Amino acid sequence: MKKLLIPLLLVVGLIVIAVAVFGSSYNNFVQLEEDVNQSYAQLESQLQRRLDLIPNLVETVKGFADQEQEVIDSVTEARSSMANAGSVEEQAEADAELSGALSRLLVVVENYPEIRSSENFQQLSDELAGTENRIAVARQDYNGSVTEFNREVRSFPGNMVAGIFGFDEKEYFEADAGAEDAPDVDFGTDEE
Amino acid sequence: MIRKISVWLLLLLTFASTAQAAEFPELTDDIYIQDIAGVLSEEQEAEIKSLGAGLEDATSAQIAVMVIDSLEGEPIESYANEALRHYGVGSAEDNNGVLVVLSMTDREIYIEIGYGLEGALPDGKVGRILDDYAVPYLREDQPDEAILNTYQALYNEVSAEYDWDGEAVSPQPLNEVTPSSGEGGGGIMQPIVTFLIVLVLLFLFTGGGGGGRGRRGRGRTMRRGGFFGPGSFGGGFGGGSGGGGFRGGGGGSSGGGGAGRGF
Repeated sequence: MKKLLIPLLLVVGLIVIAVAVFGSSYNNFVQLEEDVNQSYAQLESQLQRRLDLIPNLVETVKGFADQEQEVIDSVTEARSSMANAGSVEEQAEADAELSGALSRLLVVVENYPEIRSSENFQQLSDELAGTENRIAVARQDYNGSVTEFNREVRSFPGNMVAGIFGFDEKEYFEADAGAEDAPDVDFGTDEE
Repeated sequence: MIRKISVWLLLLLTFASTAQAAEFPELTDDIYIQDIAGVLSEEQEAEIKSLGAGLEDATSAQIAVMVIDSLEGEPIESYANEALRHYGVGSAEDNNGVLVVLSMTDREIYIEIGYGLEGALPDGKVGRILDDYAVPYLREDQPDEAILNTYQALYNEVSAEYDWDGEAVSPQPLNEVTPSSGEGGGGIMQPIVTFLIVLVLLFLFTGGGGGGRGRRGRGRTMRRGGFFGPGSFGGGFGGGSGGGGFRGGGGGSSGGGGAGRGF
């Protein structure tokens, strides 16, 4: 009887330790996943905010420069592909496309002093620049939280817990390198 | 291939930004004004500090300014965002901070708005404030006036948002001041305004030194700032950060809202 007691205690002890370690790892996952979801929601709302701004911007530009149909169309197209994007990857691609189209539009606007000087456009472009900026910050925050989550998925004991409970690595919101040159305040310089 | 490069760029960006974040100067005085480039006079700094402290006491909102020499290649938007988060401008509950960053050699100015004030100060309005109160002065090489007037304009907007009738200030757009009397007028008005503020503050501190009761006239302000405790406020501005020190950030955050201009 006594011979059995010690191994039994050992096994029980190990189980207790394992449950404690796995349990805290699980809770950690829940917390990290919550962070990812939260920062993703923030990112999505900023992307949406930009979508909402575009029709107004397009109307304003159209009012002055109807002949620039091509670049206006590219913005509207990019906007609708953004609106239809489902996965994080698709969204990131569409986001880059839209940023590119918008910066081309703003370069075109550079040739129309009457647009630039209109108060309406000035306000819109401030809001657009601010939104691009918010998107950049939200993207950085999101990718930061994904990094933490994925690091946990890959390292011990997280990898075992992740295997048991089905936590998969999250996708980064990664855009093409060009997307970093979002339509910013310096409309004039085209360094690409 | 492009994907790989972009990942690298992203990593680099994140790395660069964290490295940068460590380089924000330590606060040596109240958070409201950090004049690293040294463009403001002592009176102007004093005015900003007293405005900032009054606003914070009444509303918990913080407006901070950094005048730096150079961004060292970092985009001003991300510098401002990181700096606001680093110092925690605004309160942690309401994220009601505003940070003005002016970089002298880059000739750029940016106003970053905390999450909680994005409604009161939407990007378009911030852009207009810059166009009216900052850019004209900056083009005339008067960065001190640009900062002061922009600060006052922001102060008014934030006060209005909180329905606080703080000692109203009226920022001056450059074109409203005629060039001849302009500088003279500003030169005379400023010491007077500063003097009056100092007088008011002196009166408040000496008159109210005994405790909270002596200041019924500003009762609302004092109640809101109740965490100072009735006695400690008499000790001076340091009260907020634990006696004797200076005021730091309240833990606020922001997400890139705001507007900027080159000049």
